[in-house]
Amino acid sequence: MMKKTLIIFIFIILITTTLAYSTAIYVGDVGQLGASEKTPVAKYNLRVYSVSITVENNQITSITITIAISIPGTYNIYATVTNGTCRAIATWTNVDLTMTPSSLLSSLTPQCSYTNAGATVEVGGEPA
Amino acid sequence: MKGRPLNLSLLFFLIITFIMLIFMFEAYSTLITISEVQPLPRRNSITYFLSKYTGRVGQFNFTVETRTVELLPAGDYVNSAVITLYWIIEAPPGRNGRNFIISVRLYDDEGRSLTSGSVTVCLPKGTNSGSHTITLSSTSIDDVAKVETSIRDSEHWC
Repeated sequence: MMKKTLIIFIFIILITTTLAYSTAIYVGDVGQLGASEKTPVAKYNLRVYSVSITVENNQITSITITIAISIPGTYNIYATVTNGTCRAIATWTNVDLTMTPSSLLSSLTPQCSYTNAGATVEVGGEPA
Repeated sequence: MKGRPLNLSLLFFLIITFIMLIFMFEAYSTLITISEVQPLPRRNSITYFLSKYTGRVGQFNFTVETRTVELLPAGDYVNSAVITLYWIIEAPPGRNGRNFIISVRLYDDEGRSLTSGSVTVCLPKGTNSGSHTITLSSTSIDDVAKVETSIRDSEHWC
């Protein structure tokens, strides 16, 4: 009788503990994964202060961007230049970014024509 | 209330159960370590549109290109933009050049306009480049998702 009571008691403790733990790790959304509601996971904003293109013979040959980040760290940065159906991408890997703007320069391949009504430049970044 | 002592197989079962649980908790703890969670993006990209204008009045051709757009920061805010243009302007004798209206507009993630500004400039005839400052109302840089420029012919010689 005592053995059965002991076993049932132990299993109740284990099940309760497991359920409590499971509940704890599912609380909150993805933004709070691994953290309590008081300490949410940090979210960063990429800040692009300037975009400059170099044009030679009506071809966009290179791009210079000035960027900063709200949460300092190492990031992979890309810039996509689109004009009509032409699309060129510049990438910078393992860039140490801070809240102070810094400049990045890269040549572009392929070299898109710079035609009406203009060119679209998308600058993005993700943690390295 | 005189119970029998626990036998060996029951003890073995309990010990194995505890070991499995400890390893399981340890595995969970390792997976959700906060230091391994990278920062998540609130905004991880910004789009710039650099406009180009080509036009013609009679025998006179115009080409005006946006080469650089720069938002001037004041802390976490921007309150002006500098646009660098490159142009090829043809104008009749006695005229200095052509007036153009240069505009910049900032948008948020939902495509709503945050602020805008424009300036009318006389672009001297010939091939040249120059920068022009456009005043904007103070806007948080973290709200800016898109920067769009435009070039319009004011239809006046200067």
